[in-house]
Amino acid sequence: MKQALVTALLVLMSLAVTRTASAKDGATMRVGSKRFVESYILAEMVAQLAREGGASVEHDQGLGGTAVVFRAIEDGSIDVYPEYTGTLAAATVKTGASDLAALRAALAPRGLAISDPLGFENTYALAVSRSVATKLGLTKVSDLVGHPDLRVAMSHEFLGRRDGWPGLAERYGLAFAAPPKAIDHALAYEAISRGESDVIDVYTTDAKIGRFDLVVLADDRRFFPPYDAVLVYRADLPARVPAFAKVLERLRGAIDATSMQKMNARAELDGVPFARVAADFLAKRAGSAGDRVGLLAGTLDVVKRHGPRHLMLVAVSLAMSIAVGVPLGILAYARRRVGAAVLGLAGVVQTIPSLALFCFFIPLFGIGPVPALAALFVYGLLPIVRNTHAGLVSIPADLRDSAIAIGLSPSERLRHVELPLASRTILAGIKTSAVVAVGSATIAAFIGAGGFGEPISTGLSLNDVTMIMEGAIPAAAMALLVEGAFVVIERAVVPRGLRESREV
Amino acid sequence: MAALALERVTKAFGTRAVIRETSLELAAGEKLALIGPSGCGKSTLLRMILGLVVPDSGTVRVGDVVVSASSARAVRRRVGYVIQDGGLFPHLTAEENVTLVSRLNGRDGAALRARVSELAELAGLPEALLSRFPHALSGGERQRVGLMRALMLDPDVLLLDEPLGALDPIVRARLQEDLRDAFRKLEKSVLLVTHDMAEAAYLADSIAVMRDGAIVQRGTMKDLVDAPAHPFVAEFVGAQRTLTEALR
Repeated sequence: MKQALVTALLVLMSLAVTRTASAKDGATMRVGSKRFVESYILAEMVAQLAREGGASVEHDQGLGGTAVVFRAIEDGSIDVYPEYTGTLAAATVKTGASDLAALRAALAPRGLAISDPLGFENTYALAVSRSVATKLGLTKVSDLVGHPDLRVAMSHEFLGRRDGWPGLAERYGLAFAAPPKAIDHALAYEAISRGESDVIDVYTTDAKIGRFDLVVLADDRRFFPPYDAVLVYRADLPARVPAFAKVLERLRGAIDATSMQKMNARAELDGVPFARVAADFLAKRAGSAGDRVGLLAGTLDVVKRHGPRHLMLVAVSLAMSIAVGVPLGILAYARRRVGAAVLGLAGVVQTIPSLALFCFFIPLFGIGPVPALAALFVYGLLPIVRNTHAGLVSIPADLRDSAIAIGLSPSERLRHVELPLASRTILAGIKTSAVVAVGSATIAAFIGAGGFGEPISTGLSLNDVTMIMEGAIPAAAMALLVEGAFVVIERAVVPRGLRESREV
Repeated sequence: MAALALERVTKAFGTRAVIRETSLELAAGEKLALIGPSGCGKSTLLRMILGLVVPDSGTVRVGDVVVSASSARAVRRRVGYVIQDGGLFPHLTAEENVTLVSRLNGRDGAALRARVSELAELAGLPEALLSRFPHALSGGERQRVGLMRALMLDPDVLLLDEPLGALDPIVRARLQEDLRDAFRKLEKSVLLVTHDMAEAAYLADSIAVMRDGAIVQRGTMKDLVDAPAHPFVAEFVGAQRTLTEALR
């Protein structure tokens, strides 16, 4: 029984390792995306086209921000992801040069290549409402100069960035009677539609530009660097996966800004799954807005797709926490000074926010399930170490003495008296760790480990409550099931005499 | 050769002296009661013999073996130890409690079973109770199981630390009788810690009175009553009210 359990765990662990390694063996092409709608849609297009071409494709949705995704492609965990030239220039290559040739030259030594532009730009821009634009005849940023009475509202980030408002105002000589108001980006659209402000900053493919009928002013003095959408891919990918070469061809200049805006709107505002949005665009379908599945069906689908991974994350990390935590707890009990240090250290680890802990392991293990397992393992240690120690310490002195007095060796005492007597407390610690792991594992999706956190993180970036629920409900259900399972496990593990004596 | 000898042992916990230079010998087959008020050090003395307490100075001998960190485990298997309420392990049945050490040493089967039956009879425990967990036994029954466990390895010396302290008078009286019978049959050396004079006189050949970590007087009950070596002995003996006195 015990051996079977150990074998099963080993198999699970090796599966986890092979899965992460699979991007490198060439059989599968792995597409990554950042955690926002447009990136999901573009990555989904790449995945679908490659699949059509016969390749085996996995899409790691919403791995994280630029830093995480770029690291993933550098170490080969993914093969391709959508990116913007301006972002590459500023955040990853840091050459200052932002033209495609310079970027390609900079990435080539790292084994990375950049596709031709996909056809649209997603850059900062200023926008005004259609009525104001018509009334004042505004089409480009320099048209704003003659209208100092316009009310300007900008996102905090845009106001603060040197390459945002300060630089822009200087380049165009813009001056307004009232200083620009700082406002949350999501609220800026509401403000302009209610006539509370006249000029706001936008991204050129924002879903809401079309919805709120805004006019984007042309950057006629080329202040903003180009943010052309491109694909960054492993240089050997077209040779390794022939279908990908066709994908590059098919997407070259294929998407204009208006199309992208509409696709973003469908996904973000209408709640259409982005796989569907991507498929519709590729099939040149306009597509309809309302074709979501219900919450129940969606939840069941999530359980089927993400349940096994979530369970694996919890089971493997918990097994490791037990394998290390129980001996550490015993050590803490046997050696008082070591014990204080161990318990103190474990306590400190527990105060680290779980997301931060997950990120600590990225430099060591890259992204995917391995760093997630490491983080969950460390997170699960404290309750087990603490309860093992507490359970052993709380054994009544007369029983401890009796065990010594009848002539048992230290190891016999531990195995036949002390651990059985502490088993209920130790098990309670393991249960705590298990339930915490079920919850914490939802955060693992933020570093690309999958599980029920995947619909949650995607739902967060889409502001889609239903999708968040589709991940949260099974996670909560699993936590309850784990609680229930421990009732059964306690019957098997805690000696009968102890269980009965507590009931009296 | 003495079955048990403590030679000029001392022990202090911090600055508090618990055992002041004390010597005590127990001949083979002798039954001695160690008596005295709470906190006089009698339990500590008993625990020294098992190596549960290490003396600051002096030596402890069980048979011809000097008790030390390295010899303690071997000594413990030659010494039976019974404490108040039996000290039984709650996760093991009565029988498992009795046989734990034997089973760990690889003994099993019919011989083990027969030994348990023999001990059950000696300790006056119905065999039907052997499969029960300690929580399902009465205080007296637990004490009988504790005695069986102490005798399982057929030790030379039996140490009992207030074994009947937690029992009601009727159970106590019955157990006292059964213990006396068992002691007579076994002819083992017995060191019994109690603070009940009558129990001491009933179960032991002689009595040692302890006070403040030292033995004040050792003798038979008659010696202690007729010729107390110290006013404290007279006081301690006199403090035990007899039934007749109470009825007066």
